[in-house]
Amino acid sequence: MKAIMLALLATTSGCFTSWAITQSSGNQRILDEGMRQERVPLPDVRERLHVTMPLAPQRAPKFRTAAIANEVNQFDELPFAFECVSTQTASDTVYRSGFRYGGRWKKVAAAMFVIEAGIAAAYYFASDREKPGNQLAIGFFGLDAVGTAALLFVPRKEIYRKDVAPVHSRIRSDCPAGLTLEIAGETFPVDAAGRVGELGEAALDGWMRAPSTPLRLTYRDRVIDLQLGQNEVCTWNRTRHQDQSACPAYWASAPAIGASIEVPMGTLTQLE
Amino acid sequence: MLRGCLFVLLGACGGSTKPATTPGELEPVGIELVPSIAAQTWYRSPTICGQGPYEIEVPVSGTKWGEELVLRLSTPRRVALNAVILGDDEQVAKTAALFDRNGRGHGKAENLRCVADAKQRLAAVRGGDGGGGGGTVTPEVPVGTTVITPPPSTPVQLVVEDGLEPDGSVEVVRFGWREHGRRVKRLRIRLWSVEPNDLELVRFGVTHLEWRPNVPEAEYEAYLERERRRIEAMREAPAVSHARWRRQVADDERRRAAQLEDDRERAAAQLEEDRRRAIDAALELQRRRRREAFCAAHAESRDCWGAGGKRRFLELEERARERERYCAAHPEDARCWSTAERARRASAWRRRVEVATAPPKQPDGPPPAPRDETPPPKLSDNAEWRPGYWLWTGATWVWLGGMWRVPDEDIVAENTTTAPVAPPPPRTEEIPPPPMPTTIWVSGFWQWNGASYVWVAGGYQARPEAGVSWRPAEWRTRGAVHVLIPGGWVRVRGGRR
Repeated sequence: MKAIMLALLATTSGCFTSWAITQSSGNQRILDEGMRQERVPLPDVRERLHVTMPLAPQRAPKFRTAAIANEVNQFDELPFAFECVSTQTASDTVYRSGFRYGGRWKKVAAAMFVIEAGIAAAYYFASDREKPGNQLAIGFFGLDAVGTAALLFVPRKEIYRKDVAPVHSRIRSDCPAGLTLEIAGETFPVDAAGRVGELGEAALDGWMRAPSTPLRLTYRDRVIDLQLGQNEVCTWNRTRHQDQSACPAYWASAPAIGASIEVPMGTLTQLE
Repeated sequence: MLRGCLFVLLGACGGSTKPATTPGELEPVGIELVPSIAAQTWYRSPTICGQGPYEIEVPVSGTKWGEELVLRLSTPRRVALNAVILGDDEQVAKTAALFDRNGRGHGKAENLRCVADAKQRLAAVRGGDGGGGGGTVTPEVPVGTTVITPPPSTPVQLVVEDGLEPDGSVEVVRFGWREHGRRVKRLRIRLWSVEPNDLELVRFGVTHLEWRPNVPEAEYEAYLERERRRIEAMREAPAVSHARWRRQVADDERRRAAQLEDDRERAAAQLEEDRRRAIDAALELQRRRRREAFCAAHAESRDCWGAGGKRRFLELEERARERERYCAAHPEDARCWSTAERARRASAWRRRVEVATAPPKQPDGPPPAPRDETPPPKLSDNAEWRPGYWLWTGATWVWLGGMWRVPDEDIVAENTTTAPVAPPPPRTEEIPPPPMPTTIWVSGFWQWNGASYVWVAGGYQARPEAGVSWRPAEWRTRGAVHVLIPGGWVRVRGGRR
């Protein structure tokens, strides 16, 4: 939002006004020139496997285009599949070197001075000076032109900054080998596409009809329970079997439930 | 009368002098071969559920001008079909598709009553051996799900249908020849499917077409001879052909000479280009040296070193090296991956998904002939017999034994087998090691066949879902009658599934 406001102001107001706005809003960085940037990765990388369990069945159009499938309402129900996303989160030290108010700045400022002075002069000589709107325009562009002329003499400024910036890298979107789902004490492997097989799906459906011990995701030696409440179980049974018998009186549809497993760095980046 | 007048007028004006056809006879548009149906036979499967392989021998008439064989299908529901036409024991045409009453269809075959459900299939894929308990076996024979080396396919004969031709049929496959083309002495059609189809009211039609000229044979042969001569006449005379060849040779010579000249010019131009490039390179080197010397002497020059001069430049260079050192030590850090490295890894991981979602390999031939099965006595009033069939596991055919499907309601109401005498004590069975850790031993039981008890052997079955175990079959006494309660999967906690 801030960026949009700045852009609007920069394009609708004068050069000096725009400069003043960037100064006061702390966005002087957009005036930087000749920037060179080096990023040095900082250690302490957090690697995570995010697993999302969709509760409503996924459907694919039976026909080549979804439009036709929609028209005739013919979809194939896809097998249940987890959605996996592996990420790394860390920080970089960012070194930036550049300058401000260099040659390019001065050329642009000079051009703007000429334009603004020209507009002010045009208003002054060619319009009805008695009208308050024209007086305002003459005043604004005249003053802005004076300010812009002053900016021409701002000395060049060297910039060297060092910041720490967070980095979020999405690594892969398949489910890693070794991910398993435990349903009532029985373990089902999750394949690369996130599917648990017909047997696993049947077990999952059975669990949803009569929930018992929590569903458990295991990857390597990390274990996480999927927190399925009444709303989630209700969504599953309602969307798959039109069965609302287990739903509470007031419930909200829960399209999916997510879990996140943190693993040592390098676990998920292996090529299996 | 009017037509007669018209012919007279046409003749007078120099129109066609060909004699008019007699009334009712159609003037042939052109001389050609036209098909006529020599024979048409409709067949049906001997069983409601079937996957073949079925074979139909079609007599070859050996007609002079051509013949064609068309396999048609009349079906009230979707059936999956693989059809192969064998000509002299060699495959000459084939198709594999899903058909419905309108032709080729989409989706899955409508064969629910002929195939095992997902759980039963999984049990088979997991290598469950034997299928006692729930009545999936024949007496004394531990059949059920067995993995064996499939015997060679022995075709099953279809039954000739004597009734009327069914309404509406679609073409499945055809093979034939006309004038030229492959002639065969023996034609057979082989039909099969990966899963058994529900073949109730399904009919297979074999139409044998013969191609004959639409004019008398002598006239057709004369026509062919005229055509042959016409084509012959269109061929070039040797002298014309030789002159054309000489022109071509001369043209080739000219082209070759022009090519040589072009090559020479190109080589000279290349030499000049190389010389110019070498001069440019030398000038560039000189410029670079001068600039290096200048930059070495002017540490504050922004043109040379960028913002901040040489000191800042060297500092940033050191940061870049720091990054390189970190990345060399941490190749698993995604921040260090180049675009190419990212693409390589993404491709490898995408391949994993593709492998996981790839459809299983389809069989390249028909399944073996179905095994003979004698269903054990019906287990309940409303039990339905699902015949055994060959299941394709993606690598081999596995025999999935037939079974009685006993509805829960029959078990609850005890509408199951009854016997006038108590069964003998259960046999002690030697339980082999489980083929899979997830399999459960399903014990055998006595079944009343109407006259005596027969032993239905036990076997391993894969658990269809988590949290269930096998409740063995048992006999309960109800006054003077003994009632069989068939075995079934039950929840460890809670009621029967």
